[in-house]
Amino acid sequence: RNSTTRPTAASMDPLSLQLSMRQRAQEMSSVLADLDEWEASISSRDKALGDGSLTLTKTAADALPAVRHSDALSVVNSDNPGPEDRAAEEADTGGAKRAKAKTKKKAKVDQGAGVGNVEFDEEKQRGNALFKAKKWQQAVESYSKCIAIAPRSAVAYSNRANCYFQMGQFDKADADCTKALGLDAGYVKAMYRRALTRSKLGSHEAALADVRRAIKLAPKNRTLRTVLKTVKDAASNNTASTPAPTQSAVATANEPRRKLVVRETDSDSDSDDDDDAEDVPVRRTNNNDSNSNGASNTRSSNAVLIEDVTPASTSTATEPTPAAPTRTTSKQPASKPQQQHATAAEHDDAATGQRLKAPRNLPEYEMAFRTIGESPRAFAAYLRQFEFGETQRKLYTKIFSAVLTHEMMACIVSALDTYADDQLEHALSLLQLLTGVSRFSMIAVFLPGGSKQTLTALLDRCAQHVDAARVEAVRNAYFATGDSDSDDSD
Amino acid sequence: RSMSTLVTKPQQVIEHLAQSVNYTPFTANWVPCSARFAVCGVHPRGTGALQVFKMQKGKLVVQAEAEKKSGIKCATFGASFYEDRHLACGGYDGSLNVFDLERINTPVFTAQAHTSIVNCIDGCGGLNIGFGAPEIVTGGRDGCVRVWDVRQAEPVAALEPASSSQVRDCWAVCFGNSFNDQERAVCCGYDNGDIKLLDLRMNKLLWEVNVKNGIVGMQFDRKEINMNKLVLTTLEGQVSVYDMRTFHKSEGYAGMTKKISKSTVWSANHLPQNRDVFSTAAGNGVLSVWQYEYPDSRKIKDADTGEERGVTGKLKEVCSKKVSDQPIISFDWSRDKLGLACMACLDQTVRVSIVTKLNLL
Repeated sequence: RNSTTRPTAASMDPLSLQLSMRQRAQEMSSVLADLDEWEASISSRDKALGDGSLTLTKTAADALPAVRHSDALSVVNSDNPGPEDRAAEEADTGGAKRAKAKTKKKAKVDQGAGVGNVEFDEEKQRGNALFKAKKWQQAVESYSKCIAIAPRSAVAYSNRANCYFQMGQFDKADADCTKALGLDAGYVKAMYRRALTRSKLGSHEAALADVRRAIKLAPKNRTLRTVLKTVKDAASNNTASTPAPTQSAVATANEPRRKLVVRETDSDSDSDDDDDAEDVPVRRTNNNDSNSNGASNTRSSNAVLIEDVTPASTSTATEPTPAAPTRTTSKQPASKPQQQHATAAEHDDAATGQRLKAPRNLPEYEMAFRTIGESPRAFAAYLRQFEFGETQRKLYTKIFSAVLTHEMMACIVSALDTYADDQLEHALSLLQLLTGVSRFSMIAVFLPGGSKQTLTALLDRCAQHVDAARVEAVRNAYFATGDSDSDDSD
Repeated sequence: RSMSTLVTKPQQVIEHLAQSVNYTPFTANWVPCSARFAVCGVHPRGTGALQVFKMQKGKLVVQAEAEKKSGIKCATFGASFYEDRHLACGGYDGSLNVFDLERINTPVFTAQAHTSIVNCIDGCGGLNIGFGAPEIVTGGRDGCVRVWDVRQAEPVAALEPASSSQVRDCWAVCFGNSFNDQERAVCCGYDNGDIKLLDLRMNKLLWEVNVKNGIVGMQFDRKEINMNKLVLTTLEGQVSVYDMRTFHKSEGYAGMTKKISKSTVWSANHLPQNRDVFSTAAGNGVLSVWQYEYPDSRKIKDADTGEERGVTGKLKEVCSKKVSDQPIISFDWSRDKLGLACMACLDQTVRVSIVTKLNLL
């Protein structure tokens, strides 16, 4: 451990060696004794500093110079000396997470603004009153005066942000919330206000981050739960890939006119409405087409031609067998005109079905089925999204094993029946998949007669377009008992 | 406590205390006006470690500790007021967190400083050092250097690479030239040997040079005076000292380099009580103390152009000692006791040493 750069021990004579060793030892012990003494004295100063009884800082907190370049952030580009303003990029890369607690220092700074400042309090009360009276612009002016009195008051900025939010000026609201949080990083109100603002502005990720931070700070706050829900809804509505928002979209399919009215007159800044604004354009064109007839009219006109499948699926018990052959024969030519007579209603249904993505789990499928299972076209569009990779197969088999009933199978058959010829392969694959579901044979036995007719016809169609052997295999699976005339009651 | 060197020089390094920790410590900083120091690092499981040790009658006692979400790479008290004891830490996840040691669990300020690890940090304006507002500067692997004021969430200044193709890690930053409320400079060192000196008041680069070896440590001899000397430590065991008083138009600042070790010199720390004495902590675990001797005249005039250029002096070794087999990754002099120092070593120990008789220098 000893490193020597001067005469080594070996080169010194024993006596002086001993002497220097003793000197060293003495020195060390004196140094250490001195250190112990120092420890004691510094500890008492340490404690005094911590208590607050000793102040060493020469400048007072409010006498600090202002934040450097606080108005314009300049970013120096390191390859070309000289300032380059890349404030926007800087804001992205320096996207800040706010502090999680009020600090003593920040409290000192804030108190300098609000406590004991009568003028400020009066102006703030005035602003609050104006806010309650919904006089947003005047409230803004009042809070601006507050800010002029106490530039470091987070409360004033936060309140002004709320006014801007009510007025719909979300950019200004965001800026003010940010300012408030910059002054008081633990200000939960400003945080969730900003979350709502950002949600309105479309920055859903940032909004969610803000809400989560706020919840971490104040887990018991009830308001935050609602804010979180609002923000989450806004975020998920935007992507429109979950069943829940689709349900509202489906509702619009069934009652298009009512939804239009709601959107036009409602000026409430509820985040849900923004998303409906997105849905409506999809609907509107369709609705305009069917407006004159009404969706139900078009449907019924189709019903004559093909859509009697619908009554077939809902009242299968009463379906008389003789009707089957006529329907079957009319089915094939009907399938072509079916394409040509594509109406608004069909588009509606198809759009609805397509909006739902293939289920990732049982609840999603159940929800989808409950929503559109009765509507063959919509259900067909939904089913068309099923993919038959290994994992998906297993997933669907599991799902169907849990919920498949003969009614559901009947619906599926009706839906598959609406497939175009080039989609029959997919229909067949789905039918095949169903054969692998548990209790399939039982369910197939209980399949209502009408459905069995439909299925037979469907399989016939398949045989023309797809591998006949496969069709035969599927046919055998479904009609294993060989009894195609079973007309069991449901 | 082994016997120190058997040399005839008066100054010696006494190894006073050593303590093992169960994480890799990266920083050791004295808590201002106390016999305590804060150590930060990273646990094997990847979480951050923050411990405050207190010297107590020949032992090191853990006074406070916290586990953080991500490892801490660098820390400083430089921007803290004496009464606050705010430790600014740069994390593995690129975050800058300022912790109040009294309430160590939640930060009083946090910002996403960089997109990847924060390599180095420095603070200025606190502890009655320097004029102007307390500021923190961080340098990261993303090649950016950002200056922060805890009163504001966004950085107050930044130095960023022009193009994303040639990003060099920033390994060292330091404040200097803070002799009045507005003036302040930040010096940055990169892994390819680039040095960039940024003037914060005018927001432009004053000086750029390349020293061929990656710069690991950097420090002005004093933050609160007109730039005087800048010491850098680099890979390949080199230490450079630049005279910052005289700027030559074409050659910049004058500097001298000395190879003091075979391994990387991790840091250079100036003695708070004497700005011409500084320590170096090397990768082979050797702690050395150096004294800079000024030349007879610090500047000379160019014969032909009449321009002044700086003249560098010499480095003299005061004492040295091998304290560990692994690199001394962090070293800090105590402002309150001459010669008292704490350090963190990569053999998972924290140590306290005393260098004696520095008052004689």
